[in-house]
Amino acid sequence: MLDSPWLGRAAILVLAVAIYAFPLIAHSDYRLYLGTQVGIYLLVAMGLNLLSGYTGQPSLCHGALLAIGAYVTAIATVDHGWSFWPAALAGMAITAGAGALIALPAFRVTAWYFALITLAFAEVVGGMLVEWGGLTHSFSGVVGIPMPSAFGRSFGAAQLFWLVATIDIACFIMMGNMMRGRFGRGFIALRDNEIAARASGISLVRLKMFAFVVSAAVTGLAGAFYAVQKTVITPDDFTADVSIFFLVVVVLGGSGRLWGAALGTVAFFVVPELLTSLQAWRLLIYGVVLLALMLFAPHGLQGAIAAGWRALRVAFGASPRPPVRPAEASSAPAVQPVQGIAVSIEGLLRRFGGVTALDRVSLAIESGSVHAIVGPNGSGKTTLLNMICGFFRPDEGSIRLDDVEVVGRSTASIARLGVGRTFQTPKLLPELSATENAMLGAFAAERASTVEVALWAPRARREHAALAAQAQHFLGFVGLGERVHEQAGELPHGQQRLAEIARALIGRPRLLLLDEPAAGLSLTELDKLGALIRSIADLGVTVVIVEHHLELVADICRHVTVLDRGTVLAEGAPDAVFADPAVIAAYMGARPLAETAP
Amino acid sequence: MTALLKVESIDVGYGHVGVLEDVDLAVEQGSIVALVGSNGAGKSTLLRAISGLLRPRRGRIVFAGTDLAGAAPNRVVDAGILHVAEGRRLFRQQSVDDNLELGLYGVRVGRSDAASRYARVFELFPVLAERRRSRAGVLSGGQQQMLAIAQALMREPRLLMLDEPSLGLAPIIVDQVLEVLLRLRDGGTTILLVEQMVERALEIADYGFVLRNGRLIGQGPAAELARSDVVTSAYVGAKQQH
Repeated sequence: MLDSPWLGRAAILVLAVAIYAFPLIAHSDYRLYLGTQVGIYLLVAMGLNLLSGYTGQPSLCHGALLAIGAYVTAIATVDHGWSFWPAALAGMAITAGAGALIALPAFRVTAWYFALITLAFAEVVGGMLVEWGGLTHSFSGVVGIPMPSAFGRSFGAAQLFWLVATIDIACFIMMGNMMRGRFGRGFIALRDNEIAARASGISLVRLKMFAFVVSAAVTGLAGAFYAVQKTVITPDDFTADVSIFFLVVVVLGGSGRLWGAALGTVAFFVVPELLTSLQAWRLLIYGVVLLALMLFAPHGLQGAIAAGWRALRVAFGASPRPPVRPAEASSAPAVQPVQGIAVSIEGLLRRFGGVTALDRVSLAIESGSVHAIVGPNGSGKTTLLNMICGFFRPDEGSIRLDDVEVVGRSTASIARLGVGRTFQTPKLLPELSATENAMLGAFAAERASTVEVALWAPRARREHAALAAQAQHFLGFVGLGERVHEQAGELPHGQQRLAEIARALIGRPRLLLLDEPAAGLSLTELDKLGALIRSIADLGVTVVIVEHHLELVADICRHVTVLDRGTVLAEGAPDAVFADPAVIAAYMGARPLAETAP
Repeated sequence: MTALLKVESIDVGYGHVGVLEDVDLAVEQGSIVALVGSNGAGKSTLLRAISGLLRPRRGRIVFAGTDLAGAAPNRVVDAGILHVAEGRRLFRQQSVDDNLELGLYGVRVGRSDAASRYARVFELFPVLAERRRSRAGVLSGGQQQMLAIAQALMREPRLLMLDEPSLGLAPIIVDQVLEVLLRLRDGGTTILLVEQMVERALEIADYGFVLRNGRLIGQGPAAELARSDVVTSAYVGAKQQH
């Protein structure tokens, strides 16, 4: 019974009816006013949750963004006689512009500095509201902001409530759609693992900018409603406390969780308002509740409710998680052959401080071959991979993929040429399922527009379904067919590596860079990995593998390059290279090959 | 010989998921004991339970006569069990010297005692002596692994637990690390070794335990174990859990 989809739908229907019926049953102007204010705050909280919760950029300036939206609307309507609708749009647009402005430092500085910068931005906005009196009327504020009107009739309090509620619900639904589409995965990748995002061909600058602009626009719209609801706005409405209040709402509601913003707004705005009769005790209760949440609900209210729900399921004898539908019969296209990329590297030089990691290395990798790069720890193997995919820029030298020079290109643009990679320590998004992690790899290939994703239009829906099927197909291909729904963070280490390979494969790479894929794999897993790499190569993909398991290397590679202290020590067919006395001395040690890898 | 560590029928899990079920294990004083099994069999979980990072749901972990099941990690360390986790968890921004000093955190040692401990680890790992002032993060993978072991040795543990010390190391470095483990054992340190390179692990170990899907499926002197099918079956028969 607990798993019936109707239960969830019925609950949402009841909630929607209750929301729309609220003005009819409120029986008090004060309650209606409060209800509208909850709706406005919820908009801000959703905007902030997008930026701070999902994307991981802690903002202390959403109160200031709210102020910008409110003041633009107020000044346009009161001083310039605009009607509400264009004024609100202008408020949204100008706030979105301000969001783009504060995004600029976020590309350069770490999260802590960014938080400080947003705090400074909030102070600047607060100062401007006071000092720029000619525009903002300074401390006296903007007075007499008119209600919106439509069809010649001005809105009453109930109509305003319905309008705000409708926008909240629309925003909530669109936010949910965005988060299950590629943007949600992209935002979480920005928050949890930028390197994984870059390797998946995501342009960090564009996606971050997008998050800022959307977050600010939603907040600006909330500002427009704030202005008309209050009818008078002054600088005192937008102190630093307001920004901090929203951060509290998002963090304690459940940051990065869809319902978190709603729960937080209700818990930290509505409940204290209802406690006003307990005047003397109010702050104390508030403080105790905050403290209790921090201690006992590390993932906020929504996290606590989810945990309680799981416990309830167990008490009712159900499994702790709803059963997942088995992967649908694979409608994914069979894995298609591709034309592998040929790599040609010349005179590559890279220094880190005083250490020369790569000392004029030249290397040619044939299209469609499996090429191993081996060598002692610290010989420059990973550095070489990082340069091919654009994570580091060489000090000198050239890297050509087919005929394209890639030195100086961004990681995203190199990834789009068809370069996929995995990492020495798997870089997955631990909270997302294996399927969602694999889907991240196709970020650059998705075509549905932002609007289509937000409205969950047929094209976005089709693309999502096809991609999920593909992700499961590739997870099956690497041998994780049974674990597609598991959280990536719960997979054993060796399987996380396989999930990374699936994430790379879904981007249809023509060049696949594998960094120590066999480390920590057991005997049977090693065999399976060997077979997997061979079947990838059979598709035509060029595979470059950095690996210490020499048996595996000898088994699957036609060509081996040995690096030692940044230079090429030996290269050629595995048999010859592993018999080379110099290689044995520098790298392999006394043991003959057959016993090196069990 | 007596068992320094005795794990008696413990169950361990994360949240609702059980990982280890009714596992027994004994480590003789002065021996190297290998713990093998496929990925997901529960080897790392067992080490985490012993070092107090996970609380067993049932069972006892008796170390030198004291039951440590459920004890806080710092108490376990004070009792003399040091756990070198998988993946070289070092203070990457700190120098080699600082990392070693942190290995002594909370231990009251005189100056001469401390000096002799440094001398001992540098004697075992001469390459670290050459790089005392380097930041740990810039060391090669092999040197980092050595530093991680050296850091644990600064406390002069009675039991050293190593999780995948060979992970990501060049073959020649693996040889060096395993060689050091043999020397440590000969110097009286007891070692519990989790290692994916089973053949290598059983070569240097005195005794071995085999885990599969959270249960113990075999044990015996390492040389015998290396010849038996139980190890192969642990991998071939390892079904994915859930």
